[in-house]
Amino acid sequence: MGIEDKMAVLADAAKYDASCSSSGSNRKGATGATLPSGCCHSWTPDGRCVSLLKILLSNVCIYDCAYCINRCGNDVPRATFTVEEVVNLTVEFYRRNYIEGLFLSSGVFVSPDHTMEQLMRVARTLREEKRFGGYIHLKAIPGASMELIDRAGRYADRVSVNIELPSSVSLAKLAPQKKKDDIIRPMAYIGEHWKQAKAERKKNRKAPRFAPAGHSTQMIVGATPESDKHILDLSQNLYDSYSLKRVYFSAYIPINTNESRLPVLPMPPLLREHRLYQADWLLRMYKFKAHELLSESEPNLDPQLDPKAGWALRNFQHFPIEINTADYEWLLRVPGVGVLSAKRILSARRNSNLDFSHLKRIGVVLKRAQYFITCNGKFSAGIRLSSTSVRRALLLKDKPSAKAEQLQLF
Amino acid sequence: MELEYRYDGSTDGLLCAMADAIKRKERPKIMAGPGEAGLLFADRIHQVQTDEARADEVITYFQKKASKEAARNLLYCLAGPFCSMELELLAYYRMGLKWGRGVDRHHADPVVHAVHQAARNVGREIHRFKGLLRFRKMQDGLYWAPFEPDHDIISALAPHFRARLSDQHWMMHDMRRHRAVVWDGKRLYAELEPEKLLKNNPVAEEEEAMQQLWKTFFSSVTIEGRKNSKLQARCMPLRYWRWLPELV
Repeated sequence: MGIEDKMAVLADAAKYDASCSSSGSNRKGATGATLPSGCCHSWTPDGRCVSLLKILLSNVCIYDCAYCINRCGNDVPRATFTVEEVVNLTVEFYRRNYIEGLFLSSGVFVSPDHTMEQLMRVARTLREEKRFGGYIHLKAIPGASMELIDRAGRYADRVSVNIELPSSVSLAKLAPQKKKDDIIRPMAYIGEHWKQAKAERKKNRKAPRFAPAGHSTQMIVGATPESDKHILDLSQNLYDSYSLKRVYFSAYIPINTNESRLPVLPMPPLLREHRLYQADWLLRMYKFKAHELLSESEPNLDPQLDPKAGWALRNFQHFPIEINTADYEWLLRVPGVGVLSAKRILSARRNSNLDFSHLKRIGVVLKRAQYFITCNGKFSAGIRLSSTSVRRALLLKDKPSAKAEQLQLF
Repeated sequence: MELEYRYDGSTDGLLCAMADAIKRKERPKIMAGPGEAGLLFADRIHQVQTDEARADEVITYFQKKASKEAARNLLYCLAGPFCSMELELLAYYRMGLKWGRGVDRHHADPVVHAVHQAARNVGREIHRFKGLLRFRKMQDGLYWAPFEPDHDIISALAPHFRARLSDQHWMMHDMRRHRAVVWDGKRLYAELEPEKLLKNNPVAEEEEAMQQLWKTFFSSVTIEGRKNSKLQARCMPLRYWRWLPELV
């Protein structure tokens, strides 16, 4: 098989990995350097960015996970890159500024240890022989030895393990050969080492790096019956216990249509994925806790309203807040005020009192924020203040699209 | 007193005009480039002398008095279409001298807002092209990167590529403004005759195969079930597509 055909097979097989971030690392080599903010190089027709050369080393796999296109039971063309091929492609693409670096994952061939060793060799060759300073993201193969993961982390900017499904029951059902422990153990190991290496480097700047951009994970949403509450609680837990940088959600796309263990969906639950990402943002950037967003009685996010507006309407007794005196934490909780505008409000109000026209210039989305704030005691929305009337007004403003109604899954 | 400033329309000219206004303690009603309408009843017209060295001083002085960020904002604005915001830039300059590094805290001020907005547009395009610039390998080993940015960003962009592609010989080429920057492995310089480097210098043999591999990759990572061309065009406006091998 020629390199062209291999590329077609192995890029196609890698496309369901959601992560494409290239941020969080500051590195420089003879060829290449990373940009701490990350950088997108292109956008595919599905609207997702291309920042890394995202490929599998091989799509040969000994596992038979129900949701995966590369499972051993599937009749798909199989291909395997050699280490040199991947190294060459990465460098040549990088020289033409097609990519920011490499994202290498793989099906499990021969054994988890063997696969992990090959992945690690690609990263080592790039760093040591090619003096490559671009971004490298390696997947840790569940079941591989910790020693190999440790070595991978020394060359890569990010090492990550996919948790795949939101509960161990679902995992046992859909991916019986993967054990929860095989996934959690490397995750805990990476989190721990990342923290240690960071602390070491603070003391001594020559201390070896370990995955400086941290680690992330990914789970499939909509293939199994877990509620949004379950998923967000799990994400919160992952952030708190394993110091993850990101949890990615991937709307379940039915690939293996002949699989009876999986639901039949008319289309991937993209809106649900979007709402989960919004909620995830609230956890990471807005100091929300998962239990504030969802409860046992309301275990799923409202498809019509974003989670922040939903929270504000449920806690309407705290509003409206006064923009000129509220502290940062409360500014962040106003729908229509983001991290950037909250910071700008803090610095701008040191110079003068703010009114609504100032807020507009600062970048606050008044369309949403007007129902929740006062400026110098003035309220501008001109409607009766109650959570039902505000809800109605908000829904009227962002017209619910036809997609807003999601069909019952189970 | 209705006062009119006339300058030659260049960035250096505008910087000198601003310096004149500060030095003479004047507040012109209008600062116009060549061909632009002036005041109907001007009491006095001041013709600004353009002086490159003086323009550089204006920026350095501003950086010292205000801040590095403020000076960068000013430079970014000058890289964009500044012909309708001369007075705002002058006001921003004044505020920077008066308030020092605090000037950028005035987010609610109309002048600061206008400058930030314009600077952000330029900054955004610079960041975009850090990703969207594409190099093609030529026969003599030169990597050639043609592009057509909206703003004059080539000099702001070049140091980024010097840092990451320092071991190869490359040329960035702004096709719209006919300007080029070359890195020869040791030195970064403006190339006045980019055509000379491209003459009798077709693309290298392996180039087509590499572009083909990139195209294959690009079409293979697309998920058909999630097609969203509108989002694609929003992230990557169509006017940039011409020089992207994966999209032509």
